Amino acid sequence: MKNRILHILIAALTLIGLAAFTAPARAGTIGAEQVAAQSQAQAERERIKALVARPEIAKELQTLGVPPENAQARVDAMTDTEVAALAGKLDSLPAAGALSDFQWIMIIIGVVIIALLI
Amino acid sequence: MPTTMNMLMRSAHRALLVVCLALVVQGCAVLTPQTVALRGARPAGLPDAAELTAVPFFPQEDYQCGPAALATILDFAGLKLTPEQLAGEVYLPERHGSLQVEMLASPRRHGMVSYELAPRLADVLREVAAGNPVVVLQDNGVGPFSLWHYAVIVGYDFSRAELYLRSGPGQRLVKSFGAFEYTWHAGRHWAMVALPPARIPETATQDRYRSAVSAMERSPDRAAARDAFAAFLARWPDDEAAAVGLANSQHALGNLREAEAVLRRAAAQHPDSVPVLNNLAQALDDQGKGEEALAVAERALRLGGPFQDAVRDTRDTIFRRLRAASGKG
Repeated sequence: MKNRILHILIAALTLIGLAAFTAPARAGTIGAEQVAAQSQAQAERERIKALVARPEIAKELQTLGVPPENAQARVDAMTDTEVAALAGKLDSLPAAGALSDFQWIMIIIGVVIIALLI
Repeated sequence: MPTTMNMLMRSAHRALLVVCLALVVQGCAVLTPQTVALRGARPAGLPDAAELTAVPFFPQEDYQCGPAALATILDFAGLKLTPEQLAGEVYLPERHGSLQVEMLASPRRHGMVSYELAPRLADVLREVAAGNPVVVLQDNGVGPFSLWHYAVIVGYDFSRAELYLRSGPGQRLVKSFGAFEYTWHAGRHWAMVALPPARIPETATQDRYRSAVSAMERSPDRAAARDAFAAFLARWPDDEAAAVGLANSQHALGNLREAEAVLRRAAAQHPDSVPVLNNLAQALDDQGKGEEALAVAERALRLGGPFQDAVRDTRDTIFRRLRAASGKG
């Protein structure tokens, strides 16, 4: 329980601390990513969303088998827009890796089924 | 009578054939509209055929088409990276595959600019003709079974309507435009290139490429980011975001005077740009020009807008620093 409160506290403090600047540029400067956004309001929403989503995605990457030391660097390389697009969808977005033997068998079964239907 | 019967049957067959043909053509137009639209109408300026034979081939291990495809284009761009190294950046073991976002993010970590193409086959061909191999996302599944796969298009022959791919275990897979488009459709015609910062993709548009270059702020390679912004500004000189990006990367590299020069030029072009003024104030202050920095920050503050909190912080920091300095003096 204590741990949980501590976590929430840390998360809240981080949010407040980072709210002013999340662009990786430097403290004190505004980043090109923010200036480039078509709509400032949308950029702001994405920025806030990414703020919360980055640590979550890093954790999810670990759940999906990525070593902790890699997970953070992988999230760091993503833009706010990319993070916002990824949040909550790591399990459902296409993860391309074809083709294992099992999948080939599935394809063949699929072809047979479709051939039979036609 | 049998002759009449025969004739009837024959016309019935013919009718059926016509219907079938119509369905096939119709079906193709629905399933592969880009191929149908391209048929016989080569886009202006596109060579009839091109093939990048020097693009290396990394035969894919189980599930590793993402790292293999990335290694293929990054090696061609001049980086010596193996699929095994890239697997640590894009592969998701539990999902047996790699996500598109990570395919775009990984080249940045090596100082290359990733660019997601517009979803057009003609643009893919144009990139290949310009010497840029293209990573594509295909769904090779059947019916309800999705089988996502990354391949690299390295060549095409327009008259024959054929594409040449490095794909999985295939060093030079030949696919017709139609067959490819059919597998390309489910992934919303997703395609990307990754190029050295000074090399702008053939099909780059200002808006799309601005996002690609701005993403270089995430790159640990500051010099690559600077070069990408500089190349962007050389092509589109009055771009505000690119000027901000160039100045920021110069700032991060410790080249404060260069950063200041870029921002002064940008401020002349965009006198009401709050980000430009804010960053200029910061660059001036970091060089010890506090008085002028304060004046610029005040001007940015008067303009209002969505960056006000950032500007106020900048102004306050400059102010505090000035006061501390005068206190000492």
